[in-house]
Amino acid sequence: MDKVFEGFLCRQCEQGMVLDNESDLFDLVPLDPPPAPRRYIACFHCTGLVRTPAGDVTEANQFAVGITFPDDYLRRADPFRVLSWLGPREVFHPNISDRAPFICVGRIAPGMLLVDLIYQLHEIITFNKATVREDDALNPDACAWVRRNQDRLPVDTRPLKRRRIEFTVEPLGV
Amino acid sequence: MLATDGARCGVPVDAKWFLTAGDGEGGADTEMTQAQTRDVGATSHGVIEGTHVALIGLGNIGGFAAGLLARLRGLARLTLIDRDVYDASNLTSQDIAAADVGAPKAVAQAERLRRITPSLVVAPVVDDVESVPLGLLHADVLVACLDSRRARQSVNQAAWRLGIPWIDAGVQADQSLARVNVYVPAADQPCLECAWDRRDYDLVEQVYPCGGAPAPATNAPASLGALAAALQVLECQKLLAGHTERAATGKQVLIDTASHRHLVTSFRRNPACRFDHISWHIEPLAQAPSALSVGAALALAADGCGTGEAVLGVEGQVFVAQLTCPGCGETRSLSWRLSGRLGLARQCQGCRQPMMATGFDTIEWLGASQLPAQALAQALVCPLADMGFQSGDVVTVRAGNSERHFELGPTPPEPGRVVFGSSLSGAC
Repeated sequence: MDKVFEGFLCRQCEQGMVLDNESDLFDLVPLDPPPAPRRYIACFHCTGLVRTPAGDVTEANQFAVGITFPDDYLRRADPFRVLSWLGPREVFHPNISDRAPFICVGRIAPGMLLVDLIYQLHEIITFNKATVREDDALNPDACAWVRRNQDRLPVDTRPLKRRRIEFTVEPLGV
Repeated sequence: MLATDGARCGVPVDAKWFLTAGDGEGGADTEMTQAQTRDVGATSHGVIEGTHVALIGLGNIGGFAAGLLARLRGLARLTLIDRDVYDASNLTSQDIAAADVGAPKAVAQAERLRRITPSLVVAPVVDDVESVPLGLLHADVLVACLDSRRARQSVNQAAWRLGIPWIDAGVQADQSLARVNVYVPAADQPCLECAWDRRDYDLVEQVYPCGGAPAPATNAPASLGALAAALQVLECQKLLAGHTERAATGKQVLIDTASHRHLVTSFRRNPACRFDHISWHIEPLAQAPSALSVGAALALAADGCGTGEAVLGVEGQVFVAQLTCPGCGETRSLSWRLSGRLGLARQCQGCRQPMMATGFDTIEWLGASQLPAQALAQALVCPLADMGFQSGDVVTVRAGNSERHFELGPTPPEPGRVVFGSSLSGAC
């Protein structure tokens, strides 16, 4: 493996696991052995939407995305090759297909950091980011729903990484 | 920084995009010269006998370059590569006749060039340059007349792997600019990407699962394309004739036709270039893909290579296990077929959209561990041709930290026979 690319992969793993430790809203699972895994599964525990078989749109809180770094990732990146939607299949979002394992976060710059990809995915799943153009959407029904329900968005306002405040509670002896 | 240099020299700053030079660490030095009156043509009328040029792109620039190359004395073989078909809108900007409308560009130009120089062997290839077997590009010089950064990246990579020079050309219609860049692979020589910065990489074309608008046509006038083609073929002529010292090696020659300025920019090797600048030692294999099994190919890695599982791959392509239609969700299993050789398998039977494979449905390196365990013996005797390998493909086999590169035989198709690639109908 190219040394520059190997170094990049090592740094992505380190930074990704740091973010994993600092966030209670997602888990990062490397699929290849350390120190330079190319593939991950990012499991999000934030609130998103799914559509039931009856057609109702309801909240859900378990989502999974596959992340792959091809050999030439530092020089070119195809979004559909880098990101794979793993589930649930009933997901309801304009940028996520409910028929195929595709998710569109827009342009992915070659060499984009793993943590930046994770932040983009979090923004998509929680409806902090959603396309309103049906010709651009992987789920046109969800796109139309977004336009009618702007007041309900985003569905999860919690930031991916929340600042932890250490404090103690002491009784006030009165 | 080229943009600034260009501004000082009177070239508009926003010409930077097509000059492919950013403020990367490689750096560039520009000097503006008066129009040269020295007669370059008198010093090199011919080329070395028996030479071969591969011309990639037959549009606004390439159409004119084809005719000029066909007139080079001594040139024996010309490979033409373009995936597109001429349409009526090309008549005003490209070197074609009305009868060429509707014909594949490579085929139409091949027929024209044979009329110009009947002794010239012309090999048309109707395919995307990213999918063409690397062996088909094994010429003395690559001449690229492309309209995308991504395609230029592919040619740059191919040239370095093969260790052969390549000449890039471009035009910018609204500012009447024409330019050529000459790259000669060597340890201290700059490549295309040496001058790229983050902004250049951000502009590399991408394929989205939601589609996206195709790149707009440049609509450059024919005269500008012809100028760029002429500059390009002049540089090619120098390289073929062995006058390398006179070629613009590692430089960009730009003509600003609006203000009659001529600029030469020298590029430097960028130590932080994202491209590895490695040239390969490629060993020829007598066996054709139909005669070489997966197991035999993997065994090549064991001969003199390191320890670890043997794997094989083709640079720039991946092995696809499954395709999915982004429109209707139909899936198709493929048993590890090369991504650039999917052909009609890529088209959805239901809604006719091009099917795609996500990263989780592809692998870049194929070894025994990726083959079905319950039918491993059968999978190992499967010929490489069943996976989409073609004659001329350069297969890389790895084991541990060692790798070797083999070009699949036999020799490429007979000259004159049209090669239609199996990559057509979009990227995967």
